[in-house]
Amino acid sequence: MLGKLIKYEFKESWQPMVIVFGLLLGVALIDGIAMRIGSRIELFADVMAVIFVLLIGVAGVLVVVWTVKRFYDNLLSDQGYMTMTLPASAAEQVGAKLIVSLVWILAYAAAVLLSLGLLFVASGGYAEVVRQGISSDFQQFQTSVAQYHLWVSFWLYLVSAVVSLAETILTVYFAMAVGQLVHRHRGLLSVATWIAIFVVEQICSFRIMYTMFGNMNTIVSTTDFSKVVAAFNQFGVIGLVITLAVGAIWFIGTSWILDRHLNLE
Amino acid sequence: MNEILKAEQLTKRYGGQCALDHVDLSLEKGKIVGLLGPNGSGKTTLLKIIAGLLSQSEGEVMIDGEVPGKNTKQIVAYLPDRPAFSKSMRVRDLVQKLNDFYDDFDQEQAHQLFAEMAIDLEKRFKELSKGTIDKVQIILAMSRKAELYLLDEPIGGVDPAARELIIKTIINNYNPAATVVIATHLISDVEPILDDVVFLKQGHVVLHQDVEGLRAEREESVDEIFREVFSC
Repeated sequence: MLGKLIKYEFKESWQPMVIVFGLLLGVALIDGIAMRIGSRIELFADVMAVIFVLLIGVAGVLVVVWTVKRFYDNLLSDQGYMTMTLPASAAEQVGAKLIVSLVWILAYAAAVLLSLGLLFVASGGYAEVVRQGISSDFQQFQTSVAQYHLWVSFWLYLVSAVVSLAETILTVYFAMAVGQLVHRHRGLLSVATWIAIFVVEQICSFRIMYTMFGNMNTIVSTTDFSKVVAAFNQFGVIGLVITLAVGAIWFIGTSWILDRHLNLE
Repeated sequence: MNEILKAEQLTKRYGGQCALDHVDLSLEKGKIVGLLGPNGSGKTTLLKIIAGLLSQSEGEVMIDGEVPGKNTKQIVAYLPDRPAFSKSMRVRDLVQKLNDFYDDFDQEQAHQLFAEMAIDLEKRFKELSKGTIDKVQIILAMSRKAELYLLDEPIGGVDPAARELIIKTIINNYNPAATVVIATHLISDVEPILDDVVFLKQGHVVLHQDVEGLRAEREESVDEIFREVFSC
């Protein structure tokens, strides 16, 4: 059932995402070509660059708003009269929404990187790099990465970033689930819940980071870079485990509320 | 067990207001039951609790021996009193979705009914009139071979000719072994097809009887009895 929910969630949410990503790539391409043409249309290239930067920000906001709106519209508004009578558990419903939201947000990040790359290539920047060759600084960087296994750190913190993103999405879902518990002022309660969660999480994060960086100072003072990397990875694992645990709490909480205390009005 | 639905002391409060007040109700399999009452009597609230869309304040409800959840949603077909889908969706997409999710959905029957009612499957819901949307929803509900149908005001927002068509659709397409609960305040239209009636007044069950017995006892139609019970 989870697979079917994910399939239909993609089917029903893809169109605005493709338009936004297409716009990003299109504007990047046009701007890149304008930059390559040079002085004759410099003003146009500058305007397109500004539009491109603004579009990155607007697209990011749109993607987040769209994913949040999908959860609310599909589960907690009139559409919920159909969605919540499908033969699926609340956990499956929440899980499907979370997975698809994550995919769209990661797709947005990929679209931004791709559009930056397209801009770089279209403007002739890539050709210039190839012409000049790879610098000795970059070669030394590559050696350090291999020596200290920095790829482990890279993947660890990339996974942490994705888990952290999922946890953030789940706090919004949880806040909306709490909001629908009451008869009136649902939006207000949802916002208040989210703010309360945000404040508590920030306080806890600062306390944990303060402790972790306190320990880090001791290790950095040893000037052994491999120990620094090891400590960095250890903190990354601790952070990942904590984020996973907290995310699980919001997931279970949201599913439990929608399962036992759904109030579609 | 011949009982498809059992509600015990079912209560739902919205703040200080009681929409359902300690309702005890038991429905047998294979009956068409009219859940009758004026606006605000608790009909929609009761159906939504059974469908798993509302949680009760007190009491319990069991469908075929289970609390409302994933398993009961497999055997319950619910028709809400409002459109329950995105307006940008096409009719055929919704048909395909329901066919995918429900093992008991009869896609062929659905297509046949759409053809009979001259409803274009390629149309988006925002292109359809309210009456046509109501017809689409009733077709989708009745194309399931469910064990319990919960129809909330299936004829409430349509013209008399369409009402007749919808009632005919209900009778001709439901699973005969199933129980159909029709919540409505348009008694005279549904009375001919009902086996049992439940009168709901201000969240209380004030009457639950078979139609034939009730008519014989009171020597009146259900519509006339309804007007007496709910006279202002």
